[in-house]
Amino acid sequence: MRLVWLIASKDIKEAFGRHAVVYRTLIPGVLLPVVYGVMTGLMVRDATANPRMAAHMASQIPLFAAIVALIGSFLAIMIAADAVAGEKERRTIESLFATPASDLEIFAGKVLAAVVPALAVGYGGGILFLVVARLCAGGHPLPLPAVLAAAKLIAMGVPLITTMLAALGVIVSARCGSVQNATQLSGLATMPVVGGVVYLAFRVSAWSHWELMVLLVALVALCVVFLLIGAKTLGREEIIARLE
Amino acid sequence: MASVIEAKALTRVYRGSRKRPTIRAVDRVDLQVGEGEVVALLGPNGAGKTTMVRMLSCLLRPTEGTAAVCGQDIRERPGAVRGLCGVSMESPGLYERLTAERYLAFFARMYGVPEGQTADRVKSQLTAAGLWERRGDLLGGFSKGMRQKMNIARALLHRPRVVFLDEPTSGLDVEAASAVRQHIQELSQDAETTFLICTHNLPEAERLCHRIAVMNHGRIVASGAPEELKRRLFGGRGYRIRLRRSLPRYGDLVRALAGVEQVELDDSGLLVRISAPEQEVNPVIARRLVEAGAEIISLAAEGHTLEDVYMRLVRDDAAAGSRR
Repeated sequence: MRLVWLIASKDIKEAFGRHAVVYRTLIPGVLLPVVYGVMTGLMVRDATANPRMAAHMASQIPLFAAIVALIGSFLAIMIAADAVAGEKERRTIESLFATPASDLEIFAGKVLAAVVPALAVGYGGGILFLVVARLCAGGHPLPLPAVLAAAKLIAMGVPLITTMLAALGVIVSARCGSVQNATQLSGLATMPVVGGVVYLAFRVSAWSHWELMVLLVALVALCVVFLLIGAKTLGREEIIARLE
Repeated sequence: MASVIEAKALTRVYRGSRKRPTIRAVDRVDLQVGEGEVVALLGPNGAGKTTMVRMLSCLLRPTEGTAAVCGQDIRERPGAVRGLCGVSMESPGLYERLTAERYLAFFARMYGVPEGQTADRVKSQLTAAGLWERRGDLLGGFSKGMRQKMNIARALLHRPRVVFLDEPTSGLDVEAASAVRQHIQELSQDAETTFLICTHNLPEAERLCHRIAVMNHGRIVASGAPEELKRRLFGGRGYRIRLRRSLPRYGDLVRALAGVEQVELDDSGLLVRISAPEQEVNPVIARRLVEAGAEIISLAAEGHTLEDVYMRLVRDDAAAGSRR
């Protein structure tokens, strides 16, 4: 676990040294929660006098929360796509592979490096969204069922979806020759996930505990499968063999 | 001397594709390197030197054959082998957004250097590389020579028992290359660290290495100490002794000495070929000649260089290959 964390912290430092990563994630990571928070807060004010608005708002809060949480996942994809392909491009991969770290430790380190900042952005964005919404609501309380549904979605969904996407991103990155290819391919893989998250955002408040439990178990299982496949197929040997 | 590296029929085949042919990069290579030895792998581009080093350092798995590094099988215990080796490949990249100090500290931890010793090890390596003053600078701003020094520092950081260096002085200025060579020489003197160095720099190989192995077309075509190879290919080492007066008795006198293989007499003096180490034979030759009344004007090595050996071996192998 020590080596996993070492690799992850090194990758995080490297990633946040790149201006592109900072600008493309932190700006929407702050901007979107604030904009959606303001919109939600204003809707809460109107909802007290308008029952139709209240119903609409109940469905919008989890959706906004999901979108805010997804920004973290995009960051995960960006970091994961660079994880191996970037090291190949910069010719640093050989020194890393020459260390005693196992394939599993290297893979897990790369995934963790993508997950940790994504979680920070996802959770931070979620909290910021709720705080701004509460402030803009002008003393009116936020609808509790909608807030709870959003909280559930962020608390449970974000780590699992982020881990899954990060694992997928690292798997793709290990097989691509360039960061550009890896980013494009990983980006394609996120499309169904985005669709799934938006669908969940509309449905989650209506689901029973059992249905939620099944979804959670399915997501955990998918994460484990991705992590195992990734560690087994990191292809340290193939990556070195393909280096010029 | 115990073998630290022992390769048996080590083979690596890169499977071809539609764009690339199948390449047998290393072909049934046997290699033994003793503890504390410094061995150079010489050979033209594409001879299989880098693939050989990558297999021995567990970066690549052999297609056939096996090898043990410090008694650990490279197929069965790759993690243990990696921990025992330091590797610096030719022009590898650095983590450009880390400082020199953080970069080395990262690798020290990756190699399991005890936490209490990390700072000291990093400092000693940066000092040895002449980069201590730049420890807080980002590696992205380092010159090619400084990068190469950082790579060697990284390879030596955890005090590995075996160090693989691929072109360690390539891209370095004369002063930096000399410092790197001196560093390797110092480390090799403690007889605990074994070096396998891939290089195209023949004078460097001759100066640093106890033994050289010449590779061509994936095979080791010859190996031995540079002097031994010269002797094997061109006869004993030759010295030209210029004398004020060249007399036949001087030739007879030298011919009778132990370690002298052949003596030729001409107008300017003697051409002596020796089979024993020069430091043992040459002083005796000079003393006996002076005692016999000869006036020595100069005594200089007149022999073949490692380049001659290398060129002969590669040419002979190419000729043998075309016959095959």
